[in-house]
Amino acid sequence: MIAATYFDGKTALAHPVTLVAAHGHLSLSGDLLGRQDALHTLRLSEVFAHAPTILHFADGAHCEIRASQDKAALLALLNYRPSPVQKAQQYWQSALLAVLSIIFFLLSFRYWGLPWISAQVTDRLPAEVEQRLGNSIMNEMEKGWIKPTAATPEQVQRIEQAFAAVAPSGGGTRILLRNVPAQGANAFALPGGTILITDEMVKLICAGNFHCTDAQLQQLSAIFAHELGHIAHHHSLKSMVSDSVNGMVSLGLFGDFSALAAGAPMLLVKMSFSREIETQADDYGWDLLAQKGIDQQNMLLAYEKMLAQSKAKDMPAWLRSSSNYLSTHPSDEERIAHFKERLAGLGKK
Amino acid sequence: MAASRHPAVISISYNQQVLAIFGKSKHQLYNLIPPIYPFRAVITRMQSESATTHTAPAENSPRAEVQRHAFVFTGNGHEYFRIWIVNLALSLFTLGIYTAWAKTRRLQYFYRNTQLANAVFDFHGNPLRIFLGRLLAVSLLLLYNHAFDISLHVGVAVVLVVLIGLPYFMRGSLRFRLRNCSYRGLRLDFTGSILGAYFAYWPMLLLFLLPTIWLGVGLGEVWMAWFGLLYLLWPWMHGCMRAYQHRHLRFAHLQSEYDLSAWRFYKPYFSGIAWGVFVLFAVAISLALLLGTQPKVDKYSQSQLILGLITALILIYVVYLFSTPFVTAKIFNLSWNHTRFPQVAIHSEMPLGGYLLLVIKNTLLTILTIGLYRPYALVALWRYRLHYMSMEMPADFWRSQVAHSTQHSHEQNSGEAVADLLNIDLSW
Repeated sequence: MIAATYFDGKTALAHPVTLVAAHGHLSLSGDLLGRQDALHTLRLSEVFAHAPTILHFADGAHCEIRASQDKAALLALLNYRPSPVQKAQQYWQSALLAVLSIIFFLLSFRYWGLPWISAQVTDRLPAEVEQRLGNSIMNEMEKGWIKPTAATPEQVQRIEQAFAAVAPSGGGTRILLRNVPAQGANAFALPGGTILITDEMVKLICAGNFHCTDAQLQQLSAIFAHELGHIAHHHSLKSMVSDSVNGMVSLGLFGDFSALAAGAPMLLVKMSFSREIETQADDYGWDLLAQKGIDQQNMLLAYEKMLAQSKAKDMPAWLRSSSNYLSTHPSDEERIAHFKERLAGLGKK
Repeated sequence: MAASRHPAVISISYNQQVLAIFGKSKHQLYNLIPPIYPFRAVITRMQSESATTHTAPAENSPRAEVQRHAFVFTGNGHEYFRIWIVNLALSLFTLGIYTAWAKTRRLQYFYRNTQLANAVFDFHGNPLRIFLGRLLAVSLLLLYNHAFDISLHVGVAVVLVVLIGLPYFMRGSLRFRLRNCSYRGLRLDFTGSILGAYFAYWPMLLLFLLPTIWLGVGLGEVWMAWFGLLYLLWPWMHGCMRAYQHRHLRFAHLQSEYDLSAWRFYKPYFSGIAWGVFVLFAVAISLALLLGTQPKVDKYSQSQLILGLITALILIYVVYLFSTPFVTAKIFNLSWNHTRFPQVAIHSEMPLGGYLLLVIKNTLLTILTIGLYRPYALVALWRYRLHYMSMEMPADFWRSQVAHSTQHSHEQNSGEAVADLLNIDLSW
C-alpha cells in the first residue's frame, strides 16, 4: 500500500489516497474517491532524491508521493528505469568524469577549435571584406589620433625602400609612416595589407632621429618582416572572429553568474590567442628575413632596443613577468631568448 | 484586506500567538518565533515531517480560518551539483543544443523541490520550445552586434526589429514560463496584454538602444553624455516593468493584484547606493589606516599607477557587490508584499543583512572554485528566498479553486496554437 496525495487536475483540492496494484492495474482509493488505471497508462516524472515522486494519469490528474519507502515501492511497481543521463546524475564518479571532460573540452576548444574556426571563417571571406575593414579602421584613425610624420620626404623614401627590400613579391602591401603620439614606439598591421609604423618607433631604432644608417634600416626591415607575418596570416580578421566566438562562449558559460566574471576568462583566452599570433608573426618574419637575404640578427637587435626602452620605464621585474599572462604580446625577454636559441641552432648546423 | 496590510498581519500573528499558548498546533507556534533563520529552519523541518498538522482548524478564533503557509525547499546542493555538472558537460559536447533540456531539468528540480501547503510546483515546458527561443536569442544577439558593421540600413532595420520584437517576446517568455508551471494540478498563467508589454519594456529598451542608434546614424559623441541623465529614471522604469510582471499573474481563476507605485522603487535604489558608498568609504579609510601615509611624491611611477588602478577597480567591485544584493532584496520583499490574489496574501520578509552575507559568500566561493560552487550557490539562494516567503489564505481555499477553461482547450484551439508558437522562452 502506497500513501499518496491525489490531485484531479480540475480543482486544487488535495486528496489523501492509497495506491494498490493488482492484475496489471493500479487502484486508487480515498474518501469518496477511487479510480483504476492500467499500469501502462501511467507515467512517472524524472525522480529527484528529496522531491516527491510524481505519478501522472492519462487524463491529466496526478499523485505526489512523499515518503521514501512509498516512492521506492512505486518505482518498483512501475518498473521505473532511469535514463543514462538520470543515472549519471546519481553518482559522484560521473560528476568527476563530467568535470574532467569539461576541462578537456574547454582546452581543446581553446587550442584547436578556436584557431580552426577563425581560420575557416577567414578563408571563406572574400578579400575585399578585409580590404574594406582596413580602410574603415584607417578612416577612423585619421579622424584624430594620427598625424603626418615629422620625417622629410627623403627619409620616408629610405624607409619605404627598406620595406620594399623585405616585402614579399606579388605586392598588395604598403608602408605608412605616421606620428601617433598616443601609441609610442609601435607598428601595426591593418587588415588588407597596410602597415603603419610610428615616428617614435623609427626614432627608437635609429638612435633618436630619422637619419637611419643602413644597419638601422635593416633592423626596421626586421620589424616590417614581423608585421608582414600578421598580414600573410590574416591575423586581424582571425582575431576578430576568434574574439567574437570566444565572447559568445564565455558569456554562454559564465554570463548567468555575472557579466564581469564572464569577462575574465574571455580576456585570458583573448590574450593567449594574441600571444600565439605574435609568435607566429615572429616566426614568419624570421624566415622572411632569411629568404630576402637579410641577417636574422637584426630582429634580435630590434627587440633588444624595445626591451631597453621598457626597462627604462622602471616597471619592477615581478610586475613585468606576471603581466605576461595578461598581455597581448610575449615579453621582449622571451622573444629575445627565443631568437638567441635559434641563432645558436643555426650556428651548430 | 485594505491597502495597508501590515496591521492585519500583526493581528493574525497575535491570534496565532494566543492559539499557540493554548497549545493548539505546531504550525501556529511557528509564527511566534521571530524570523531568525536557523530557528525557522528547525521549525519548518518539524512542520514538513508532520504533514497533517496544518489542516487543524481552530474554531474559537474569529480569524481562525486564515492559515499561513511557509514555502519549504527540499533540494540540496550535493544533489544539484551532480545534476548541474552532468548537464553542463552534455551541453558543451552538443555545442549548446542540450542546454534547452538542461534548463527544463533545472526548472523541474527547483519547482518540484518547492513545497507550499504540502504540495509541490512542477514544470511542464517542452525543451524544443526552449531550444527555439535560444536560437532566436542568439541570432538576435549576433545580428545586433554586427548589424552596423554590415551597413547603416541593416543596422537601423535590426534595431527596429529588436525594438518591436523584444517586448512581444518578453511577454511570450512570461507566458511560456507560467503556463508551464503547475501547482496542485492547476496551471499558472500570465495575462499581461501586448500593449502593456510595450509600455513596460520600451523605456528600458530605448535606454539601451539610443546610444547605439545615435552612434550608428553617426550623430557624434558630444550629446552622448546626456543619455546618462536618462539613467536617473532607471528605478521608475524598473518599477513599471515589475508592475507589469506582478499585476498579470493568474492561478486557476484568480487574477493577481499589485498596488505598488513605480516611484516607490527610488528608495531601495537610493538606500542601496548610499550603503555602497558607505562601504566604499569604510574600506578606503581602513586601507589608508592600514597602509599608513606615504611620503608625498611629485611623480608616480608606472607600477604605482597600475597598482592604484587595480585597487580602484577592486573598490568599485566591492561597492557593486555590497549594494546590488541590498537593492535586490529590498525590491524582492517590497514587490511580493504588494502582490496578492483574491483571499490570498503573500509575505516576503527576507532580512537584508543575511541576504547580503549569503550573496557575498556565494560570489567569493564561486570565484575561488572557478565556478564549481555555482550550483550550491543557486540552491542556497533559492532556499533562502523561500524561507522568508509565506502565503496566507482561508482553510477551505483550495476546494473553491477550479481549473481555468483555457488550461485544457488552448492546445486544441488553432488560433491560440499559432500565437502560442511565439511563446518561446528567451530567458536563460
